[in-house]
Amino acid sequence: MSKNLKDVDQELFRKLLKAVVSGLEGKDCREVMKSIAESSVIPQERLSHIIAGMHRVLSEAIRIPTSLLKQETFKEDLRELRIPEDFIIDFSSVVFGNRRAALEAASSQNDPHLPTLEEFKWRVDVSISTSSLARALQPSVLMQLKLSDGSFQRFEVPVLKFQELRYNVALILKEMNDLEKKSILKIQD
Amino acid sequence: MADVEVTKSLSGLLNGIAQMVYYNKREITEELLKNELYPEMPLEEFKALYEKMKGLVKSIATADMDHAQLEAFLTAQTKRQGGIGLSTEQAAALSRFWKSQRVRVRGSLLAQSRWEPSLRGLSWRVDLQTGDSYGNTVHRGPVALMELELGRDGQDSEFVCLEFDETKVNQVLKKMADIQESIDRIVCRT
Repeated sequence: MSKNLKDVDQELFRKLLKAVVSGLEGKDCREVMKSIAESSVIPQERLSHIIAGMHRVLSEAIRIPTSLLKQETFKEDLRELRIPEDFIIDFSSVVFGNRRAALEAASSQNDPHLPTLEEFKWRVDVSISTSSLARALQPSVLMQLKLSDGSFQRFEVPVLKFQELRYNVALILKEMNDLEKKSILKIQD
Repeated sequence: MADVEVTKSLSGLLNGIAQMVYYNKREITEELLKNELYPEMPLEEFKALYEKMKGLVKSIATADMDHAQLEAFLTAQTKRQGGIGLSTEQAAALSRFWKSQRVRVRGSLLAQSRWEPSLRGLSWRVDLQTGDSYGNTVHRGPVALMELELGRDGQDSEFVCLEFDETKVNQVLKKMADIQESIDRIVCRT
């Protein structure tokens, strides 16, 4: 990246950096990139190298918790990469500034995870009579779950099973509460 | 045939009918029942007996008769004239059969009117994330993973896996308290 940054002025650098940061935050920055590329004298190939380099530096820096990576160390590392001083200050202000939290939140959205529950609807029915049983009088719970992957799950829960389900959910909450209290949560490197 | 034999064969027949009609046992057939229980009986006579018993069992099951209703019903049947009535041994056999099978038959009938998949089982665990390919996640807290086993009567189960954070578990628990309240209101009234 450093040799490509020759004759890049600060204004252009900042524009590129801003675009890369919003890209890391999950926003669509294609339009912005296009307009930068069109209005700049720097050939596209060089711009691509710069952008790729910026992306790499920033994502790696965000990975490491601030307790481990100190600002001075970060700056030293960038100096070793022969990045001009002005640009180092800009990089640093992104990594250690107030946009850091937003960047961390955005990157954690890409973790592998199972679908989560977005919506939980229910109703309690009582079958009075059916084609097979003249007098049923059986209550049951109908649940509809909307999941984060867009799918719907609809199923019946007989009353006894519902008690079991409720008991287990309460147990899960208790486990989670207990876990919070234990010092295992305070894992430090 | 001695009375004991009559009763034994009839009990066997009634159980066989239940297996076929309510418990989905495909290996039990009318022919099998005749060969096992009434090998000497002429075919026409067996068929008549089989249909009669099957009809009675179905009436009793559909009405989900309690003890009093059953006694009244059987008494009425024994009083019928002209060969379509029941003997007292037969009535006794039916009574014994229903006492032992009522709950199971009722369960089977209820399942026949259940068209949505139902919750068969649940497993879960609580995890603590310590790291991932992107960054520092210690502040995220515990994550609950739940696996729901869903299935329709007679079909294989489908497994649905979900994850929850603590806030979500709390919300779900609150909704379940509402559901329980709703159930309690109904159960008290019936």
